[in-house]
Amino acid sequence: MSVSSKASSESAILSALNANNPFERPPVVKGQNIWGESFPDVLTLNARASDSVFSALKKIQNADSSLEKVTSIVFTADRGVGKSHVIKRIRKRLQATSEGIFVYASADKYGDLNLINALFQQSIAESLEQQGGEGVTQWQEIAVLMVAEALRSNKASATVPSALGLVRKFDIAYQKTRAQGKDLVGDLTKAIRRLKPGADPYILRAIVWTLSEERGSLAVKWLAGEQLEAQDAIDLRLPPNNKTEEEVNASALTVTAKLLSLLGEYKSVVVCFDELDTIAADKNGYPAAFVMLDLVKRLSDSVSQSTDAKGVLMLTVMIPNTWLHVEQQNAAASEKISAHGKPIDLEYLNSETVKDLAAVTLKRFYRRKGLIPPTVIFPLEEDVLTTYGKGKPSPREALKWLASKLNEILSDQVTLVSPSERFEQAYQNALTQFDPDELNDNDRIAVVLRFGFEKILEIERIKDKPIEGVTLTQIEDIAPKSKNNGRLNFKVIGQENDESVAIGIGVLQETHGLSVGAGFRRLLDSKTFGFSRGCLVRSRDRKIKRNWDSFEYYQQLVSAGGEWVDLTAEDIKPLFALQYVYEHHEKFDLSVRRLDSFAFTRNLLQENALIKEILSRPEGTVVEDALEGDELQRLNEQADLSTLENDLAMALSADDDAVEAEAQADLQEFAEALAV
Amino acid sequence: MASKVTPLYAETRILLNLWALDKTPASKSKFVPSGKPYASALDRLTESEDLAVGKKRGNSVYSLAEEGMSKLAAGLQDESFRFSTNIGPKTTNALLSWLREKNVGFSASHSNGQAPSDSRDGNGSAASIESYEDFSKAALSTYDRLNRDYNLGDLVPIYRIRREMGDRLSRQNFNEWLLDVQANDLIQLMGGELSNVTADQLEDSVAIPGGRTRFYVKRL
Repeated sequence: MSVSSKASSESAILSALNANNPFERPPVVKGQNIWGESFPDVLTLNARASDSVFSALKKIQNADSSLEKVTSIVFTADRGVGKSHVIKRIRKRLQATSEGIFVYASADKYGDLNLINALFQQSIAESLEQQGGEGVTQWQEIAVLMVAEALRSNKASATVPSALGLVRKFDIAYQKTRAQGKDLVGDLTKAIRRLKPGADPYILRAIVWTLSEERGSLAVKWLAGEQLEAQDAIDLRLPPNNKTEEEVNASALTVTAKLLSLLGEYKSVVVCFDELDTIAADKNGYPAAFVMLDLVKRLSDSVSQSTDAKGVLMLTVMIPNTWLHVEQQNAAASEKISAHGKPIDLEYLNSETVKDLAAVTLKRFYRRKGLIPPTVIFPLEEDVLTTYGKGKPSPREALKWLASKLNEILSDQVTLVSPSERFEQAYQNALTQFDPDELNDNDRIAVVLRFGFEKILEIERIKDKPIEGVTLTQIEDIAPKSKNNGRLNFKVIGQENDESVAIGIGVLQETHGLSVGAGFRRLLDSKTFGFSRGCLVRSRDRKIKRNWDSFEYYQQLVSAGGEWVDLTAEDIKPLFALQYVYEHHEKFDLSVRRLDSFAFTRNLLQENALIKEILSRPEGTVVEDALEGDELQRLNEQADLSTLENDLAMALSADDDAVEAEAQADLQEFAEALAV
Repeated sequence: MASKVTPLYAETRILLNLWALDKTPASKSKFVPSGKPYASALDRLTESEDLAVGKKRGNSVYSLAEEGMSKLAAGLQDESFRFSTNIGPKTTNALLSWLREKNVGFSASHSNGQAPSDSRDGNGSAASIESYEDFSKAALSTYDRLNRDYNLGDLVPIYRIRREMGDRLSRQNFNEWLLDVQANDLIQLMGGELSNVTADQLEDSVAIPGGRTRFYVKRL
């Protein structure tokens, strides 16, 4: 159409920009966000860094020697230069091309560095719960490859179903073979083990179980090193992991090395270690960076690959100073942490990439608004950006500068209206810039929610009036941090009829059971964290499956006086908008005092449905609508845990020909069951 | 420990003490430490006319001659001049005022050729820097030397480069030209962790236009 090929009117563009400055709310990639979708990327920026990972992957995939199948790369960059951004690019490319498995380990979330091995095992399990390339989780991708290999070795012409097909049919096939008195998972495990004799049979078994919709989340829980209920352990025929934290940690290094070794046999693995530069330290006083790097070194010593393996690559990102210390203090370790050679320095922007960054951000904005700008960087001017780029700013600095530059250009647009109109305009505009993707970001939501509660405490006229019967007195961090591992977010403390209440808030928007379960356990542990009730903040349409451990936890939470509060875009949006207006109050020429008064008169805090729901007394009922699926059917009601381990050992060691032939026949049936 | 007092040590200390006195000429009791080596050092200095001798109420009074200044500068530069025991505030304060007055003082170009200024820029002179080309050359060679000598792992603090080159160009030229060297892709200026940085180090760093302070140089 001729209309669409014409540029939009300048005034339409400027007023859209005036309403929402796209540079003011840049998508900062952090933590959880690594897994998210929306992502404006300047592909030319740091292409060398991301390409180097992929060329290293090619190299380890094709290497003839098993020693060359494990390698490591280091990226160095200052804060704000875009480390996490490049990591996300690598993660997305791995997912899009199905080239490999991505594991993300962030020291930022590691509360107790003395348990580093166990925490890293958790990170592996959680990372592999994320979606891989074929509509299934990364665990399932690996399981599918294992099963396919086993089926093909059984019968070369065996048809192997698609990943999604296998996952959909697995439970049915399992039940079918079980009715015939067979243990499908056991047979598959045995068949896989014939091909991978060195692999840990329990780990194989657990990975096969991840294919099950019913028991997959329990299997992942086991793979994360967590304890299983006795009955669950019996049903899965896995040892129940009855260990103390310290014991788990002690065995976790071996387990993680085994896991990575096994994963690498089927798919290339990129393990990324991020956020090393935190101030945390372990009990010996070693800083987080040292503890993490020590882990990387030990893993590179203990992960082993066969000559046919796809390889394991460890990518560590840190600030240049940290690397300098590593190099100067321990040259031997530095070779293991950066086997690929010298660390790759991430680039700052230059004149060209500053323009690219501006263009990419504006393009996204104009597309959403249905506008066509006269130039890709309109209304910014090329020579101004070129000059600015010469200073080689970091992307974070550049976005800030671009935001203020754009505001300068737009300052003519500001019409002189009353403060209350200015507020209304700013607030309404801010409401429209809410991105639904933000509902995936636990941390971001928690920050905004906490802002709301803190504002209530700050504003005199709101402070002393009870909301839903509760008068707030304080907002606190979750302590001890070492037990929390970043799962819960903060505590709201107040008075309710002369009784003090302390509500522990956990925003848990994950869509897999492992992370939600880990959060739930902390919501239930009111003693450790010192609150009177736990409050799960989670969208109700992110249903909890009845076969998750969280189903049980949810019931426990309710009976302990806690609740699950529904997180909706509608309720959180106003808090996002209000926080934005406070943050940019100078731009709107509004003082914080005035904003406080607007927030008060417009009831933006005291009447916010989410805040009210958190403070109101829990109804004490489980919301059935927020649950889905069936409860677990017990498989071995009569079995006894004490015989399990003997039983397992025997079943796994039985390797004689008769059993083998039988197992092959069973697999045949399984293949047929799947083919239906 | 008199036995350790070398002629160089004795002479330099005498010269330093005399230099630091508020009032000259002064009688020898004001600036000559006790001990035989110092007495003979005083004689040598008088003989070589490093000190000018006058008379005041019948006593000998001394003042520092031009040659003595050079000798003092050279003596302080000489690596074999070192303290082997605790010294009092008088001497340390004298050193401090020397450092302050000479603005780190190490460019005493009329000294005996041992001043490190010769090895410092690679071009053998401490002449002022008038152009971007000269700056770029001098800055990069200063970078290389500091990086090598102090094992800085390719992260050389800007303030150290500035202090090495400081007396050869204005602060403003340093800032401008350093950014130009970066714009020409020869170096990258980096922020780094500034937690242990002192105010004066920060002051001697460089801020990029519209951005934050850069602390390190990394050669590309």
